[in-house]
Amino acid sequence: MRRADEQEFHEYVSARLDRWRRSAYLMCQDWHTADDIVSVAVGRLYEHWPRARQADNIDAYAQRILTRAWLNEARRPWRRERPHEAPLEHGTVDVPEVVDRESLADLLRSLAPRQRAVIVLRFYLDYSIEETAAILGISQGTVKSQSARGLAALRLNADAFGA
Amino acid sequence: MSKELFEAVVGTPPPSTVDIAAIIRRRRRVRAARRLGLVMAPVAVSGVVTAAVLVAGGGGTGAPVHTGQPPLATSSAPAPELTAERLRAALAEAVAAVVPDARWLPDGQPPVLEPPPPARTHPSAIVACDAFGCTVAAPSAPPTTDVSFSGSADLERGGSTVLAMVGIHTSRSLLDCDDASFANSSCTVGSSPHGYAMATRAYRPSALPDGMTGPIPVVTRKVAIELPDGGVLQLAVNGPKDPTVPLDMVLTETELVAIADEVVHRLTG
Repeated sequence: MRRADEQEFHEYVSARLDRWRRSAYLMCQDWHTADDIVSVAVGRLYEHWPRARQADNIDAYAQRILTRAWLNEARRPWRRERPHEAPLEHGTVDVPEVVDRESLADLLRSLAPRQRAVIVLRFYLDYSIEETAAILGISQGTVKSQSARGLAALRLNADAFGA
Repeated sequence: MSKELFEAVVGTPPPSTVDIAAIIRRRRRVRAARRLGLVMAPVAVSGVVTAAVLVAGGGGTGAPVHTGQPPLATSSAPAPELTAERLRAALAEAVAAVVPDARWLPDGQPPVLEPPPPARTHPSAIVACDAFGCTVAAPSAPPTTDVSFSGSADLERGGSTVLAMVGIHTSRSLLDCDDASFANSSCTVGSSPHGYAMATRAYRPSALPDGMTGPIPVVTRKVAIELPDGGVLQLAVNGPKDPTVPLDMVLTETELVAIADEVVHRLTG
């Protein structure tokens, strides 16, 4: 990579680092792990920077790398989390009322890694269903079903605040 | 409202430990090491200088079989990253023990070990790969290519710097010399000081740089030592950057063998 390209890469990453760290933290809820995930993603993005620059949506491209890094990390045996309950594929059951940050944190922790990623992408980063499906490499139907629980919880939250 | 709640969960982030410049440097180094690997093969094959024997006391092939040791870097091993960290720590300790006056550049830390690009690591287990990663059908499937993971870093000693490369390989062909029939390399099989099966290789360029006279020096040395689980640890040094400084002035063959042997011994002991 030419020096000018590296400079451009450095500037691009620096400008988005905070946002990536925050979204990574929401997915893993640990700052050390979040920084590890972001570091992995930055390295991978560097490897594919010439291609990334030509992507239609470079931010979605980068977010896709970051989210995949999280999902790969969550798959490691020593990281494998045990969700409080089996991941939901359809509908919502026993949705906790999310009225404060603790209950939102609890909600996120109770979800399987991919569901958690769906919630973060959809409701924190404001990606559309189509974009979320593309980032995660899953169908739009899966995005809809996996976000149902989070959506219901957030609606409860909005109701609680009178929004 | 919900976004504010997400921000509340995040709170105030601690200072970032993501070092973009370091990541770029490391990736650049990995690329350079890969390029070096690609360049070395044709150089060795097309050379005209006869081989030199490297390992004092080598020659035997009847290496002892080690049993009852913790497995390393195979499908039955602990996670590769865990093994990589153990290897990294063992390398740091071994270098400090054998050549205490040597120093890892730029920050005193041994190389970070990384797996090769996913598509080349476990092709049999991968359903689909793209720039974002791979979909793995069978995560526990054994790797089918040579390198489990590897890393490289500059090692400075006596004012000169060599590039040190370490990796765990799955190919046992590194332990024999069947590939060493080309003119510019020498290869010797034997046993390491702790009794592990070992092969050492040395590579010389086909010609001296302009303005230099005398015998053509060794520019790369590799030591491959058998791991108890059937994998192979390979430690290599290339350089120094100054072509007028002999590699042996920075790290002798005996020292390289001692370091690799110590690494294996610490990993399995």
